[in-house]
Amino acid sequence: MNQKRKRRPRHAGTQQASQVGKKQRRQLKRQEEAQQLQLAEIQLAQKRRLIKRVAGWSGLVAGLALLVFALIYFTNGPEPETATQLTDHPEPEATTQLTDQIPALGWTLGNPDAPITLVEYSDYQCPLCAKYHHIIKRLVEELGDDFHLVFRHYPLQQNHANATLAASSAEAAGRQGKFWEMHHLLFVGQEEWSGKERAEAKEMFLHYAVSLNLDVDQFQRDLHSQAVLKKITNDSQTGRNSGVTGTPAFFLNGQKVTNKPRTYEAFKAFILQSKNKLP
Amino acid sequence: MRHSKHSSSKVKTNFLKWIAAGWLVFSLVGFLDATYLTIQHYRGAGLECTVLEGCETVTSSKYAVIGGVPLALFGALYYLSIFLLTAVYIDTKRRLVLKTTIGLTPLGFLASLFLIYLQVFVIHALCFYCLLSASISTALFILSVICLKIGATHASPVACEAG
Repeated sequence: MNQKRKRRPRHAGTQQASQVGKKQRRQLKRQEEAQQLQLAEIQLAQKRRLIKRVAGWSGLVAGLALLVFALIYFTNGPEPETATQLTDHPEPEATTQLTDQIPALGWTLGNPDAPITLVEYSDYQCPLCAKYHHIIKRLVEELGDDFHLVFRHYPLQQNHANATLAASSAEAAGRQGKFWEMHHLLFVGQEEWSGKERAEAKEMFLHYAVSLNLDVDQFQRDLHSQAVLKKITNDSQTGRNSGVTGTPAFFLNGQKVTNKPRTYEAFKAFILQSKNKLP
Repeated sequence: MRHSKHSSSKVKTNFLKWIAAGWLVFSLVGFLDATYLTIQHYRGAGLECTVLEGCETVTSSKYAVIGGVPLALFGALYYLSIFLLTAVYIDTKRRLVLKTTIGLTPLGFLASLFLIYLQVFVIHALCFYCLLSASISTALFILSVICLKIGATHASPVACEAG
């Protein structure tokens, strides 16, 4: 190229023009390069933004899924456990032997000398208690001599307007020898009386008393007696002393059951497992 | 950006950020709350009755299920929608997404009002998780109202438009 130019010195103007052209071309080239660089940068930035978005959304979805799984896992609890001692003993010295920890307080079913004693704190107006009623009833029937049930009242009057009245009905029936019969009727009929006003609920409890052939006048007197009320508040107090916060609460041989087995089969397996662990 | 004052739109954008953050947090808590109730429902055992937590009376009542589907599941889906819509809005800044979110919150608020009415006057029991849910849907709704208000006070052609 240079040689060509040297051979044509006369065309100075043309040379100048070609130099300008060269400059322009260089400038253009530089601009083009800069543009390409810019484009590449933009593309890279876009790519980065896309990756960031995808990562963000994946993280969000994964986080939500993780939270739901955590919720399922932690609210279920893998195994039922016993913890927290039943602190209320009628005789404070009876702390060494498990079976001595169960005070004579409460209504009992099954064999008092059974290796397994389950203390239940329950509320007749609590739906979960009604569900557990069927589980416990089957346990008493099927475990026979191996099982001893102690039932205590724990009415959550703040949430359940008819809970104490229901407990009183069971106690009043108990004074005529029909505690467990009334107990069953109250749980089975829970949905019928639970949402009713107090007067209507009482009417239904009187019906139950009639159906059990109770002396209704006596039943009514007992229903509102101080002795019955005192028995119920006493039951609740022993529960509070033992760290009962909700219903139903179970103590297996004096140990609080923290993760309640949710089915009959699970409960039975849990009890048998505890029995096998006994010395 | 259709209005002239830069500062006012900046204030608005900031407010919107806070509102979006609020929606995210509240809807997430609501989602977890409703999911918990749904899990408990399908597990079949229900909730323990405690003095503090109100009771299963509410969640096991016949009003807790519509056509075999627990109300809590609808709640969980509602909160999830709000959460995802807000996330999409933060990502894309699309006005339509924002408007959809704002349009959804009154539904949750009205549903909560009705459910509180049922608890107080029909079932005669209060459920802690349901009250928490009601508070959250109210908060989501209030955020929407604030969002609309900001849009209005800044004379935006579209209420609560992003700056």
